Amino acid sequence: MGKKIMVVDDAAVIRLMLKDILESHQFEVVGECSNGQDAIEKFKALKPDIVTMDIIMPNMDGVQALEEILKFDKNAKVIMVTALDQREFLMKAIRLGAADFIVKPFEDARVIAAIQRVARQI
Amino acid sequence: MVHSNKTINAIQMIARLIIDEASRAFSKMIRQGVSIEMQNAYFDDISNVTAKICNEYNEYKGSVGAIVDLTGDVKLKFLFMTDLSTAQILTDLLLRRQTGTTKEYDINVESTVQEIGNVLSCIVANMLVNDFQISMTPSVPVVLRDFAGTIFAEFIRDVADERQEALVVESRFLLSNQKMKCHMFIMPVGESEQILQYLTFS
Repeated sequence: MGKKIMVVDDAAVIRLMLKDILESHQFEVVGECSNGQDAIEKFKALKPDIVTMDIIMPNMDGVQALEEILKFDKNAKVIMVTALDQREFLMKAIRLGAADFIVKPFEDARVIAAIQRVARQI
Repeated sequence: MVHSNKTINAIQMIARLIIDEASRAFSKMIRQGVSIEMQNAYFDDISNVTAKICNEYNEYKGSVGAIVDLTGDVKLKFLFMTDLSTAQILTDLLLRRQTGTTKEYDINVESTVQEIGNVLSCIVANMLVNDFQISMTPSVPVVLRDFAGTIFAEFIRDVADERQEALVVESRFLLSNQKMKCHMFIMPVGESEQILQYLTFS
């Protein structure tokens, strides 16, 4: 059964890439956002099963957005997407309760493996 | 300022390490073999560097660049720059489309340059963070579409206020079956040049 995914990244081309990868594996992309603030609002409205969350974004970064989303729903499943192991941010996200992480540049298989692993926890 | 050969050699070697890593990540990103070659790492008068960049690029077609500020113990500015037609090819490669599909500058082209700037600048930051145990955080890339000289002037603006000379790490990107004119520049800001020299010899 395909899960509902929300993709958060400030780069339109990365949102498009992730959407293509996810939809080709029967996942439904229910929403896209380009910053952390929008992600919080859309998460509340759309209630996706899984969120892919870029870390470095304008207005509000992905780690702050993760924290706010988990305040709203402590069971939220958020996969952090980070450029080449930005460990400081990643460790903070893991301590806050991120479900998994994907390192950019990513391969399709790595994205799908992370989504499937998190989907099994739901 | 006179720079010793030892300083220049050390900076060139660090730059080569960064560029090798960037080459691997860039190949993975666009799913094609890319080699990024270091053309030079040098100190030069800012006006000479600007003139060289203007000559390298066709100013009639325009260019696209992503500028990233790396802040922390050492402050660097990073620029990834390419001409408009190469940016369109990179967009097609990233989206796995046949090259030539993207015919004009749009949000996908802009964000392709943004993302390449993001990934490459993170490599620079990671290498310095891991090897020298210093803190460094990249900003969100700022994408500019303009003449190459104007983009480069924006890139060196902070440095140009302080002094006449800049350290420039210059590189060229070669795709196996396509000639790509891309450049990557790394420039220390403020006292960071001295800190980098100290780290290199410590």
